[in-house]
Amino acid sequence: MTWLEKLTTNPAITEALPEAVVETLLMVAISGVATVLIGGLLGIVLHVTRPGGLNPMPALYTVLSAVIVNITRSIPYAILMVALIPLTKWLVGTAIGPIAATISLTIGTAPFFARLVESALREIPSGTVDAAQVMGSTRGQVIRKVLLPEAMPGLIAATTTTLVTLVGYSAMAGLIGGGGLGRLAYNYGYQRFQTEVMVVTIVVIVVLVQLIQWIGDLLIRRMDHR
Amino acid sequence: MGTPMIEVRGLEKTFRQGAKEIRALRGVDLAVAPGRIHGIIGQSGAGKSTLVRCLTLLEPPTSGTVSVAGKDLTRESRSGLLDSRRRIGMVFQHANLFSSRTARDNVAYPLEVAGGSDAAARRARADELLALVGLEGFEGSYPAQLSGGQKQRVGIARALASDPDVLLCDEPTSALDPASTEGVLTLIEDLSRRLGLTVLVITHEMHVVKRLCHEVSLLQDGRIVQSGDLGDVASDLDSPLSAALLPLPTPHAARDQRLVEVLGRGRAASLPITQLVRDAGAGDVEILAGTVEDLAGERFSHQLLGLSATEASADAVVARLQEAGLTARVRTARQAAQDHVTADEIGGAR
Repeated sequence: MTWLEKLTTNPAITEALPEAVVETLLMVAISGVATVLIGGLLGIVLHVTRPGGLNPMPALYTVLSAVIVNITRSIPYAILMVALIPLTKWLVGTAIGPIAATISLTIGTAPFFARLVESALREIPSGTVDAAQVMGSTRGQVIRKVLLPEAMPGLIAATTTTLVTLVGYSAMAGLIGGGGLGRLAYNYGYQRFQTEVMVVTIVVIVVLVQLIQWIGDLLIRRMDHR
Repeated sequence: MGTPMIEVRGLEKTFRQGAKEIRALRGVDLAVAPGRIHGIIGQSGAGKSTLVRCLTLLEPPTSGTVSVAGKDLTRESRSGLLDSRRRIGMVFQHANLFSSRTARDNVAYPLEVAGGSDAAARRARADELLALVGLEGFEGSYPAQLSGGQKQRVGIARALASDPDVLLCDEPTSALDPASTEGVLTLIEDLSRRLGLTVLVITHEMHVVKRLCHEVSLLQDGRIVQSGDLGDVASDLDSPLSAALLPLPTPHAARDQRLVEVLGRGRAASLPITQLVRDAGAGDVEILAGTVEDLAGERFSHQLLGLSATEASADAVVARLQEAGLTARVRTARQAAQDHVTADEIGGAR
């Protein structure tokens, strides 16, 4: 069989691949949304409560920053996903499948995203926030109407980076039962020596990452008026 | 002067940096009557920035009060403070516009946060204000597409959106080129007159004070060391502000010359001084340095005369000049040089 024939006949490619793509997209999409919501909120709280912030709360800031964000971020994802299996079982009922994988994916990336959000918000010149406050804005208005819109290009860049990271993590999560492209490459490409499956998987992942980055860059160009 | 629109009493601000205390404001008192343009001049480190931040309570004062239109901002509740802040329009050195909003949406922002108006009304009001500051046709432009002067105009329109009583200008022209500076100063003056705005301008540039203000305060080391109507402080020869408002170039006097400093205000500014000196019988007179300026609508002349005469006849010259309605005094070369340094420190000699 030639290489081309293998590509069109190997069931790992014709049948398992589309399924794996869907699983990967599912993992990235669900954990992506959860990460943006949880990590985004965490990032905003970090920015607002930091010393000299809009509403400084040193104790809360220290706990969130040092304890939660830094500790979580320092655990390698490969270890975190295994360590979180009991929690996943308790929450989802199983540790197998793409839905179960989103738990560790979200916990693994939300603190990372929170830091990116915090630094995107910190880029906004303090004079801009002063101006908003002098015009009689409430703190909520400063966040909703000034901080978030002003930081939007940075926030989209942060989301893009996080989604790309999630694609990478989801491949790892696939190895311990998450499914998706990671498991496909491991099971067929590595364990069964089907090089064509490995190559196709890599190509699909590269295309996926390129697509995410391209959409992200496009949105940033549209929104960046600085 | 009636009830002041802006009244500041005993304003102090102390910052703590570890064990070190920095007293940025050491008891500032200030009163500005409605419709007046008051300049606060001070060099870097004088406490200008802290004063601006304390006036809007962006920085809570350590002690003292800040009243605008009779309301003490330091005693307001959080929501009362937000309302009071809407009575103050603020213009910043770098305009501080929102980069994600168009000129129109920047101007509409204060109306948006105040609530109680629909989007169409806000839009109409914003366009009206942009026209008022001469920016018709730029409604849809983003700040990045505007020049420095245009940005500052948008900033002024935005400051006016909430229909404030007071316009607080923090170094409004320090980041602008001379042409834009002139445009922005003319606009502020014009708006103050047309809308009856009380304006407080904080600056390190004496030309802004000369060009715009009715009255001026000198801020040094966290205190206001001199304050008054522009014409009054300028005609007080002993005051540092006079030296800075009517600066003279460094004089080059001959060793045997007697120096007489003379200042004329209004009609006295046009008196034939050399003639008066000769009348006093003092012999030859040389004008070593001189300047003529129009301040707050009055003409001022300020000159340093060199006389080849005795001390007694110098006193006679001073008496003769004062008799004619001028202010005059005998000055040593060292004192004259010191006046130049003083003017330079306040920002007047440039």
